[in-house]
Amino acid sequence: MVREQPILLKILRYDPGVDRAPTYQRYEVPWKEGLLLLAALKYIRENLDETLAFRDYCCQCGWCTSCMMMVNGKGLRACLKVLYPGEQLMIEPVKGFPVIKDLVVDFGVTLTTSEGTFRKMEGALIRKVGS
Amino acid sequence: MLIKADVLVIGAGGAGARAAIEAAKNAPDLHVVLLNQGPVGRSGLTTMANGGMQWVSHPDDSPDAHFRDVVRIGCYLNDQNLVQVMAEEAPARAEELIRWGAKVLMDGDTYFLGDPRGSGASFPRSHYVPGGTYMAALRVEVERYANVDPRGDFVATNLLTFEKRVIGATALNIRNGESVVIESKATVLATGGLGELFIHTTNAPWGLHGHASGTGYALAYQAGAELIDMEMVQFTGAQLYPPWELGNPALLSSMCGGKYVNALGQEYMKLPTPRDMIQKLAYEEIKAGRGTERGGVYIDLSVSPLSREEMEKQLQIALSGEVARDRWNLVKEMSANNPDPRNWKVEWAPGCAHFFMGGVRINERCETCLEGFFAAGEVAGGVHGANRMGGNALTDIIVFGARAGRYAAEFAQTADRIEHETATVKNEQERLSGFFKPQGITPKSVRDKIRTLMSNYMGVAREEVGLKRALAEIDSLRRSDLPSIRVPHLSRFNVPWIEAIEVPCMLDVAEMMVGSALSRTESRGGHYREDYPNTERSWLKHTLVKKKDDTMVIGTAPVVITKLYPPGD
Repeated sequence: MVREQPILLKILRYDPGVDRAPTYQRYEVPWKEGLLLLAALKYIRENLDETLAFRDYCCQCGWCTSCMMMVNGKGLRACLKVLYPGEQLMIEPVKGFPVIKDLVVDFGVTLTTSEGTFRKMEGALIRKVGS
Repeated sequence: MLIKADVLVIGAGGAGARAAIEAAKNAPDLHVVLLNQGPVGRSGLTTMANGGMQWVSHPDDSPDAHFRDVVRIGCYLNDQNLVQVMAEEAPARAEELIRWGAKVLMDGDTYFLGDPRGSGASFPRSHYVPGGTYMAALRVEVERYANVDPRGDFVATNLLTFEKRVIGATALNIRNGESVVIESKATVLATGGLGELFIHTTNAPWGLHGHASGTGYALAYQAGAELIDMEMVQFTGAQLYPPWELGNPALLSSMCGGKYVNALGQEYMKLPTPRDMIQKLAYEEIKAGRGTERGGVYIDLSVSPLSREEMEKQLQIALSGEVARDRWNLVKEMSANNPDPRNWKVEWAPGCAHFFMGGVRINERCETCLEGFFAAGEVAGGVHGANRMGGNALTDIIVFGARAGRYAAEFAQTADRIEHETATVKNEQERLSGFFKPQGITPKSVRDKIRTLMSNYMGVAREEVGLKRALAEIDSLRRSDLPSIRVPHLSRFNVPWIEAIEVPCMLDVAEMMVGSALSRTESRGGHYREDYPNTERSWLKHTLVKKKDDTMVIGTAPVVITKLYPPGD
């Protein structure tokens, strides 16, 4: 069997309580069929770096948006991002929120405010049935 | 840090959020703290639910029929007072949730009602309310109450007690690693299930921690609560191939017209079949050597009478009630090489933990045997008996969530707040910081061992020798592995630390489950004993676990029967 090209992830690391400034760290994750970005991050934490923080307490199926992050500069849900062999991605925390650690942000007010605000944030996530 | 609450709700999934709303609404002067391990309203299992939700809306249906279906499918092990409450209050709770913004799949002007064969109901009763919109509606409603204080990124580590009363909890602020004490007059436990104790689980399909690690059962046990039917796990199919989730095999088959076939292509089972039997029959097929190389069986969609377009529509509903287009797009992206679902042979294996029927013993006011301590949702037992009918989890959590909130608020209005003992909290802090050490093993390694032993001995089929071996392994993990767990010394978002907090709880839960399974010498619903394959009239009772003088005691308790007796009685 031909060994598929691994995924290369360049991930922003930052612990505001400890680090003076964010740095980037590179990780190599073996590719397999059906690999999603959230699963790749889990692979890193379990096999390469136990200190990597990302929001894993999430729905894992596209609903809750807890795993929103910047992927090559674009805001995406990590649980819906399919990875392809040899892909190289830059992963950063989602813009517009204070960073708690690495890829974890404080959604804070947006999570605990009016319906309008979170609907705006979720955008296309909540659609009317049949539309 | 000390937080003073009137009502403390632990867990902000469907049951917890609903409890907080009800408590806040019924008692505007009370301070309701809603604690959650992730962002409030954006995490946990409710958001993952694929939407089947039962309440009576079909003109021929009735709460009595709903009651009878739940008890019959629950193999008569349900507490019937609880089932009656659920069947009667479900329509009002559901309509209210839709008013709050939950989306329900419609068929023109009426509800779209799923094929009753999927659940075994006597009438079409399954509405599709995807968990994402269900939870979004509750989140919006939580926001409306100024007296609800949502605290995301907190994990409860212990319950505080005084004599026979729960007086609060200790917690860890995941964001900064700070220890927190919450003093409360009333406490509602709504921490969800325990699927993570098994290798395969729909509760955390990627093996991520914390979604259903069963900590709530352990907290309740340690505080002195009674737990019933801890052997009653509902399993579903673990999808082996294709490697992207397509939904529950029972749903797939009934909605898409697929057939259950073995590796030889023989149809070994037809719907309707209760969930426990679907598992048992697949297990027997594989055991008899008619399974696939990966150790599974198939759902063959190629024999379906549906057109490709019709099947894609049904698959979308099976995945998440049609509204989650994103998930469907994901499936399409991943299956680009073989896009026609009629060509799919879905390979699956039994033994994927899906739901837990047992849990903290409650009455219809959600009260436990401890004063000021209430439980609702999956962490509570007795509603679903030995087997949950499909579509009744989303129903259970809002009905009993609302009740727990109402009665907790009622209790808190007249109760005093009891101050905690500083020594207890200091011990707890020392226990938690004890995980920081230079050398040791990862919490994940112990967690994986627990999951392996549970899947090996506590899966679809159980027998005495295996269960005794499981108890011995649990004991050995407790003595040799637990003290060696080490985590990195970090304060912010230290995930291994949270995992380390969960592991001792998982061991308590595993021991309760195996002990209960060993004591129930019969087969009923989700509990199949190969050495005791029959259902025994004499076992129409709950197993009951309780801590006595720091020892786990396993006994029995009567089932509450109000009107429906097993056939032959």
